[in-house]
Amino acid sequence: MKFAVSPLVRRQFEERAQWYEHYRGKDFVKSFAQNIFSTYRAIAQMPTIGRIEQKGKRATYRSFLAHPGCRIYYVHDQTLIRIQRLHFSAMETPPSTLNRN
Amino acid sequence: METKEPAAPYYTRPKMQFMRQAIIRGIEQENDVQQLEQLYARYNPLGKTFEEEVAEARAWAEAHFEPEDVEELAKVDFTVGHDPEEWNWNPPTTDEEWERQIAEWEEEEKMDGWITLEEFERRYAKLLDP
Repeated sequence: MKFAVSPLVRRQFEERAQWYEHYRGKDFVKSFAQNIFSTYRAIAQMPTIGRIEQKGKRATYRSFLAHPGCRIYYVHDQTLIRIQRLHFSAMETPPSTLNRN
Repeated sequence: METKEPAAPYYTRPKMQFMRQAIIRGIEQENDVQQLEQLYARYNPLGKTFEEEVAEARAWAEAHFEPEDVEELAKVDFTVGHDPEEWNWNPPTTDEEWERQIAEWEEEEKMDGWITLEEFERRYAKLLDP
């Protein structure tokens, strides 16, 4: 089965990784990226792993919690999985000097 | 003639906390740039300037992302000083909202820039090596 990540998800991922690096430190970024990578692999192997959000005419829309603050929304049919959006829980910007490694 | 020493004011922890919270609320509502500059200089005298923080964040982005992605991140100052809720997305809750979202996603599927899982892992492998 083919697997595709949308340009908007890439941008969301990059911005959040940058934000985590600035406000939470490099180790937090590593853990965030590891969780996203492993979730993508899990979805690629078994698309039905996610919670059903909506059944469309052509495909099923699902979500999966990849990281404590990040849920992945994706769509899949018989041939293709598309990662459509990341949803992050709301967070306050912390003082950078208190949280950096 | 004996003089009486003035009694030192006694500050309890709740009173100090109350004053801190009042100051934070006041600063949060401050929109005068000059006042903010003065407050920043007073309360963060050894801290970095916004420009220094952005330059540091740019260096990290250049070390971890592709050049075209770095330029996209530059549009949001490499997230320095940005509230992450600005790019938060609220998932649909009703069937009608879902129908609108699915229609939007079907349009997005025509966009350029979709990448495979292997390409995603290759592009962002440096994040795993901090």
